[in-house]
Amino acid sequence: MYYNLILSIVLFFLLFLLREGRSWLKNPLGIEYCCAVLLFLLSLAYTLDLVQGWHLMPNPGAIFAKLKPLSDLLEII
Amino acid sequence: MENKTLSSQQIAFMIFLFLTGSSLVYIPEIAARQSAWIACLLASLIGVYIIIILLALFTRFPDMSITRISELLLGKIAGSVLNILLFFSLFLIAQGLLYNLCLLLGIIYPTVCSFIHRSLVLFSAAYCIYRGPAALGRLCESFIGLILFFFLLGITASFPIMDLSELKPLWPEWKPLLSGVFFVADWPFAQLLILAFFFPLVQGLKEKKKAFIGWYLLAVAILIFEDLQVISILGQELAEISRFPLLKVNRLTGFGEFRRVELFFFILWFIVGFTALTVYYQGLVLNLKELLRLENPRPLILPLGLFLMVFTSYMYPSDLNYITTRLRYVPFYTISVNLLYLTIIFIAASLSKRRLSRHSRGEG
Repeated sequence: MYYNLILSIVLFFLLFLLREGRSWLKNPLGIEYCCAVLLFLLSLAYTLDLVQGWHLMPNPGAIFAKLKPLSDLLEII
Repeated sequence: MENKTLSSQQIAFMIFLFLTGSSLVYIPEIAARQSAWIACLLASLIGVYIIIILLALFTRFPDMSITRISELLLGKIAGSVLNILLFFSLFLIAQGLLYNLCLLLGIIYPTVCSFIHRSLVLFSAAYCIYRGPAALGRLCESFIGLILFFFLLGITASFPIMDLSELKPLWPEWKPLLSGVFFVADWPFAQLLILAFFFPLVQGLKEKKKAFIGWYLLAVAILIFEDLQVISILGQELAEISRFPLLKVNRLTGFGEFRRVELFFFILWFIVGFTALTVYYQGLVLNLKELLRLENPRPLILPLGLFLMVFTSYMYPSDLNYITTRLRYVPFYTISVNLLYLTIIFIAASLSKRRLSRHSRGEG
């Protein structure tokens, strides 16, 4: 149920961005506020993901874990 | 002085406070065991390299940010890709600084939740950034005397309990030394790349080259002494497993009847750690401003701070995650990006200079 609610919010937001985003991006002040809002939204998304334990958001830690062989090599040294 | 300019003296103090603050609680070169101080000495060449290349670049392109220089020399696409990689590298470093500082605060104030520590530290840093880079410069200027006093006090207090026989055998094998050099080159020496965002704010960079190198060398000398202090007082094994070896060292030192002097040193750790974090936070804001070509970076300050806090908690939910990811895997990314970014731009700048001089000779 909650997944659908979140999906609806994302859809509404994307539609809003499609309709209104262009006019915002033409204005330098609009770009500044768009970036700020995007950062707030990303923070909110990561917080929700962390609190609920969904693990849906991309985690760079998983990419860095691929460097384990290199790290092991250095440790063997 | 305007709030957007820095004096060369402030930058020199910033180099000193940043280097000592970045690695005050965490000693990465301990991987080199007894030769940790040699590892630190060797890796300090990376810092000299970064400072010299940055000075050369900003003497040629004064008043231009490093992101603009990279786009100018490498083209828009290649320059932007490199700039994005650099932003991510700086972000990862800022995460590490925030995590370490708040972990230290957690030891001093164990009952306060880590989110509150992070919020308070970031609010204070954000206030400083709202006041402009000059406020950060003044912060460095006002704290330098106090910090030097505490360093001197720490050195004097630890001398009687140092056991130099713990340092033997020196340079037993080259492999751990190599490992130590790698980790200390990444943290803190390669992190000096953040100065690229402050150098365009300084007037007369070239004339003050000696002052920058002088304060840098003083910071390196303190870092080397810290290595000697930690290994000779704690011993190699305890130093390797300690999360905060310097805290342990200060716990063991005392003046006559005075004990628990480490609480005095908390002022030192907090100030230098906070300065290092604020320098990185300010650098991130300036980098993002340039990346997005914004005129005013102010609307980014608080959202970026919040994202830094949330993303740090997301990437490092526990200390174990931090130790494995940040201290073992991330250095491979950050050191490569920081050094390659600067080297590529410097090579491109040298090539364009040669091409220009050839072109003008041809025209003549």
